[in-house]
Amino acid sequence: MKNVSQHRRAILKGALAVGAISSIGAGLAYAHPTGNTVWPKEAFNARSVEEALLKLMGDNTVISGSDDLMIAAPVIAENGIAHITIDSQLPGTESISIFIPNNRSPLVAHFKLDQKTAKMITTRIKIENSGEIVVIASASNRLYSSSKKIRTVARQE
Amino acid sequence: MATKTIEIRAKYNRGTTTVNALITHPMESGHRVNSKTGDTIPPHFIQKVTCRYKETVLLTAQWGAGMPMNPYLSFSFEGGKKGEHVTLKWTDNRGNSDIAEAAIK
Repeated sequence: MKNVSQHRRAILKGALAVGAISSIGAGLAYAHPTGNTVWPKEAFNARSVEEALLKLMGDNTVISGSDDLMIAAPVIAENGIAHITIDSQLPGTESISIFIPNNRSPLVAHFKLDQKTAKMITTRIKIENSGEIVVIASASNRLYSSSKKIRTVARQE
Repeated sequence: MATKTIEIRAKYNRGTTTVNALITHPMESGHRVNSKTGDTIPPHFIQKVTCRYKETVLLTAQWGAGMPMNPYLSFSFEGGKKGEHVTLKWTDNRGNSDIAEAAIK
């Protein structure tokens, strides 16, 4: 019995230590405001696209199926990673967000763009399970979305 | 950081400058489990990337655990001039950061 309780104590201590470390880490991250924005923790921890969007943009009313928001992605994501290009022709595009609804954390990335910056981004993202890529752009105070089906052959942990 | 983590290139062509960047980073999501010990591997990933040209912040990226190991980013902007500089900075969830500068070619 003693062993068990000691073991449990060790686990508890470990959990507390991890909690403390992660909160310090978060504090440090917030203390580096290079562009006076904080990392939207709640949005990244959200389990659904709707919830993440609400936490990120304060709104989740989306005009879906926009033809001016294009996604170039492979049909199959090799090794669970896809190389994607997003091109927004929407006038006044301010930001582009990438969501993978079937990932554990659907919000993958959020890009804020300057007026001078072309509204086209190429990056690599993890695809944990086959499903969709959802891209949401904010333009002239509205949110537009576009999606594309993607299949993954190997699960990326 | 002792070792160089950012590979950045900027190229000017017909009025626009294209920036390509590759960052060396484990991008540990915090979801993975060590199969031998059964322990969860703690998260370690880049949360923020900023790219500047002169006084302009061209792009601010906020990344989550869905970005893969050694993330890649490419974008372009209007203007730029050969010989001028573009800088890229990343900060991760442990407060580590790195910054690199590239001359526009």
